[in-house]
Amino acid sequence: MKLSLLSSILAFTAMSPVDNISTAQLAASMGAYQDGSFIGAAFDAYYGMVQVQANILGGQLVSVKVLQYPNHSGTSRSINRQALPLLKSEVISAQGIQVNMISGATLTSRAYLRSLNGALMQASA
Amino acid sequence: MRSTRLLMGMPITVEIVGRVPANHLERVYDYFTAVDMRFSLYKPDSEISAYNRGEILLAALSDAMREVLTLASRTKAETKGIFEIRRPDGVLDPSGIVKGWAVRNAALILKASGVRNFYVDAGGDIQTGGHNEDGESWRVGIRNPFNDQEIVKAVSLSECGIATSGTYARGQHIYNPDRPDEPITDIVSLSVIGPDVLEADRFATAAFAMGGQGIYFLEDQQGLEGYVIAANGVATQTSGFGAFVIS
Repeated sequence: MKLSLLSSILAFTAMSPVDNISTAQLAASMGAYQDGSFIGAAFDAYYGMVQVQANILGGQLVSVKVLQYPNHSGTSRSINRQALPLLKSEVISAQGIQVNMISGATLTSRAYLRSLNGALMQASA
Repeated sequence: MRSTRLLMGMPITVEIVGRVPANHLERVYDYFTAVDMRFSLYKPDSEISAYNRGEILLAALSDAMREVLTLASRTKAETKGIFEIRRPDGVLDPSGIVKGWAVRNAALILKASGVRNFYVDAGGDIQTGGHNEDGESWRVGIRNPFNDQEIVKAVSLSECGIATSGTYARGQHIYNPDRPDEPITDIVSLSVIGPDVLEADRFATAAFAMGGQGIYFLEDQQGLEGYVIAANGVATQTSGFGAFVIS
């Protein structure tokens, strides 16, 4: 639960660098939950400031209230909600698992950029 | 038996476990070709192009076109207006729904032929049926949006669909209809597992357009699970997603 709270907050501050502090280190320094409402520091997501309040009841995190969120863009307006469910977050890592097929978008970013670059070269020739 | 062909501007792979008559595959590829002829915005003689030019009246549209346009309207209602097939320039572009719809229909064609164990994959939108050649559920990787040679998750699927929307494939091909000028930059990849690939595809497209809120929207939907990757490399999953994950 501690990990998911911190991960959620890290996810909220999506664009602020995760610095050098790992989620686990943060969790280890947290200690047990006390009941009440706790307001976190405001973090600069790249699109604006984000600040949340954690509500603890019976030692458990029951909800997260978004106190500050960027409201000047369509993207950031999307997190305008009073309470968000806690969802598991993680830093992605490569998986060495054999699979039958892969879901992703149709072309890869590098291929896209190469193609675009080629097209732009032609366009500027 | 597995084969891949380039149709609708993307690789389409069909794998069927065991030996089946070759015409099963042909029927599937013929179907995708027919869908492309009808729905391609790149073909001036497609039905959608003619409709966009005002040369076909609503009443004269094919059943297939009406079905897709109805699905688009339904998805728009279900996503509070976020899913919008009318582009800022006024053109109706149903490609955000046609791919998943076509893959689901291709799977239905196979099932109607008695094929039980298969998958159909159109550019990463996948419908699975039955099991793989090892007798297990199909194993599907989710591509790393920052490195196309890697997967960052593997999920086990049978009789359901998965679709991934991302900014990394064709540039910013999804936009928020409320702010068409602003590209969605905070999330880079969003995968949805649904009861079939059509459900997965239409909600992947819509949830992606919602930006950071998309994963919470998915959390509220019955029968859908999601995995979103933000531009900083942090992934967030819906509460039921873990049940599909192979570790």
